[in-house]
Amino acid sequence: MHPRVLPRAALAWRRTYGLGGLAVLLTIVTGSTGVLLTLYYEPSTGRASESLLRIAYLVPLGWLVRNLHYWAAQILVVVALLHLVRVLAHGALRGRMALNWLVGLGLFVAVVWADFSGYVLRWDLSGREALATAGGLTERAPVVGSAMTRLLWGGDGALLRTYFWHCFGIAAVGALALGYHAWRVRRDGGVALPARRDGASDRTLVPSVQLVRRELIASGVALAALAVVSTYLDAPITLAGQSRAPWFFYPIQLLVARGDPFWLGVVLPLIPLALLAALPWAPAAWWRRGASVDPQARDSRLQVVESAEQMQKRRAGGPA
Amino acid sequence: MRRAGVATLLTLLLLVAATMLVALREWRPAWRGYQVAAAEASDGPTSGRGVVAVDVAATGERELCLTCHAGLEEMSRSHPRALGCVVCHGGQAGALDAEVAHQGLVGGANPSALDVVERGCGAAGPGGERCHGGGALDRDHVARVRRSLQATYAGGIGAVLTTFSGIHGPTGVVAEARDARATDGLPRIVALDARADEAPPVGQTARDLRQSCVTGGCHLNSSGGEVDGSSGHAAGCAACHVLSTGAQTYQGADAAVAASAVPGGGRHEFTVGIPFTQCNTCHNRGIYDLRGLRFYPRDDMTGPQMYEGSEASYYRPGERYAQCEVTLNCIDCHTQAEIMGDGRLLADKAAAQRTRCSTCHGTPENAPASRTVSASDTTLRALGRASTVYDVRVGDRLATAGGQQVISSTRWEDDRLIVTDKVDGSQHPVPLVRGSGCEQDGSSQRAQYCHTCHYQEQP
Repeated sequence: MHPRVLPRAALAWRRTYGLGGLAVLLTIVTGSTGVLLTLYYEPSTGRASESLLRIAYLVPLGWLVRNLHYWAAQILVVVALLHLVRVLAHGALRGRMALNWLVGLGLFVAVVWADFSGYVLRWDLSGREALATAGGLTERAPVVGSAMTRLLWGGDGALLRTYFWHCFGIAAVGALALGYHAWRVRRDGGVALPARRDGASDRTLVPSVQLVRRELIASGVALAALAVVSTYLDAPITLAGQSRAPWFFYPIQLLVARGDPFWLGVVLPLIPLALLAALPWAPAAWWRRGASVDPQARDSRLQVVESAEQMQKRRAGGPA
Repeated sequence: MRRAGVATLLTLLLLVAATMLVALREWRPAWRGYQVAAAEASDGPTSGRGVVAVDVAATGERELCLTCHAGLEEMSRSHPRALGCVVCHGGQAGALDAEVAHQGLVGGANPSALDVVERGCGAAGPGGERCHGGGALDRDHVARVRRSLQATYAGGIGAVLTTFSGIHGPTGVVAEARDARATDGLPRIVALDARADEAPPVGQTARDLRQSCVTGGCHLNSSGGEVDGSSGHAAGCAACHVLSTGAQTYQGADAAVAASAVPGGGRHEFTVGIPFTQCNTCHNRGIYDLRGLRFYPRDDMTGPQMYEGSEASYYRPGERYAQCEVTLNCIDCHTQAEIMGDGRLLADKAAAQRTRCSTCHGTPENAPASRTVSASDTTLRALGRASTVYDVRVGDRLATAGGQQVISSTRWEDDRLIVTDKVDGSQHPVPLVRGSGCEQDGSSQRAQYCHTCHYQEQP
């Protein structure tokens, strides 16, 4: 994913706060633990929660796998949101980066959907109620409501349908989109770099191994923290008592209670998403005063990419 | 480069530390601590038993509860471990941490509490048939107990209300068994409830009585906790069937609930052989002050004396009792229908009591009334099966107080009536009045007249 050399400025912590890399790491953790969970999870209404208890209490280290899966997924929602805000704040969504911005938005939606469907897959009290609520919201959509509800949540086979989306639909498409997203960052010239006060760009190049080392250290720290959290905080399961909505849907839950569920629960949350999607084509002065991305710096990044590719070709003995 | 090396080393140390925490949890789960504590308490080997799974044949479910509840006593012969825990207690039997496992518990630790009893003791068993509720009234213990004086405390309330306010509440039978009006929720004595809206002092008294005696004090609808320093009993069915020890914490061997607050300080053991000391937890604890609606425990028998089985501590000074009342236990004479109710909603004890001295001793003219057990007497025979010290068989001739009120542990053998102590199994021939020289008029024979001659000196 990385070119052989990078601008030194691109390695600065404040350029990314490590959010994109952390999101990738968390995606890998959720994916790999998710694969392990499928070895024991049974997506049938009569066995789902029971198999979850088996994973949590009887399967060796099953509790760890489930807790890692859960906490990585929860943190991923937060990290993806922060990553989105960071990209927005750095203005790295205009021009040729607009497409990747849209891909990123799509990935964010996929993360939330995956989180929600995972919540449903517990098939506990909260999961079943969340599914009923989601089905009730999409059912109210005009014309396509019924078809969309069946497609997303299913009817009698709701759990199996959710399982498909969670494990195959979202995961497969999401993995491809994430790969494209990361490749596209490089293709678009790497991370956005700010213009220097003197108008010039820091053109100092460093080998990418420095970035890789930093990423490995950050990943190690993140994994250790995730393991500690997963050791002491168990993923919830509510088999009786008071059900709880997914925390990231609390705002929607509050909205739905105040008026028409479809307009407040579906349409209203889609408005900011649509605005975000349209943002790259908004006048710069309208949404942001002055670009923080130095065009010259971006040119230099493109040169870095090209020079790295040329270096590879040279080593391979091809034409420069 | 040096900074990078230090950072790498610290990261590796972090990862190792995290791995050790993971390993610690995997190798030393919380439930293992309970097992070790239970083993230490019983002087058994402290090596871990691992996960303890009970496959409940009747439900096909695998229950893991005993993994944590190591050392837990078997409830009773008729409630073996093979029955599982969930059928009575609810909860999530596949979980191994308290937070999840205890979700959906029926009545916390006590599924016999009357506010949940229909989902506990009265719920459907593994076979789908309700255990102690539903069906014919004589088998529907839940419905009968909820309407009984033990639950409503109607007699006490009526007496105090009358004494305090001069207004007489209902007496006798308030509602017949066929009247289902009071089967939904706490049985309510309508005539007394209505007074709660009256002007003081009557209304206030009626409200206080409900609060302090029925729902907040010591009767079956309450938790039966410590009242004015006296040790109480558990709530609901457990008030009688789980024996109090005088403590206020669990007294059994289950390390997971050791030192947990349990009113009466019982163990996880049910019994149908209920000694008089258990009845004492309510019936001989002291007196009620009518003015302040306060309970004053007896000062001549404090603390554990109530539970040691001392006959001297049982009887109130000045009261008169006959020898059989000192020797036997309360349940040896008082029938299930008297104690647990017969389905009628009653306003006072006089309406409930059927057993008299003559029930077992007869009169100068007649032998005690008796009844021969037939194959259709399923309830009566069930009483015998539940006991470990006596049996009721088809063809047995038992003393009866009339109708279904049969003294189940009596039996005519040749020309002698034998009563078996339901608690210790000892057998006692019953002396008959007929032919004894007693000059009592059988048509007006009442207990106080018997006591005049048969007064037992207090030890």
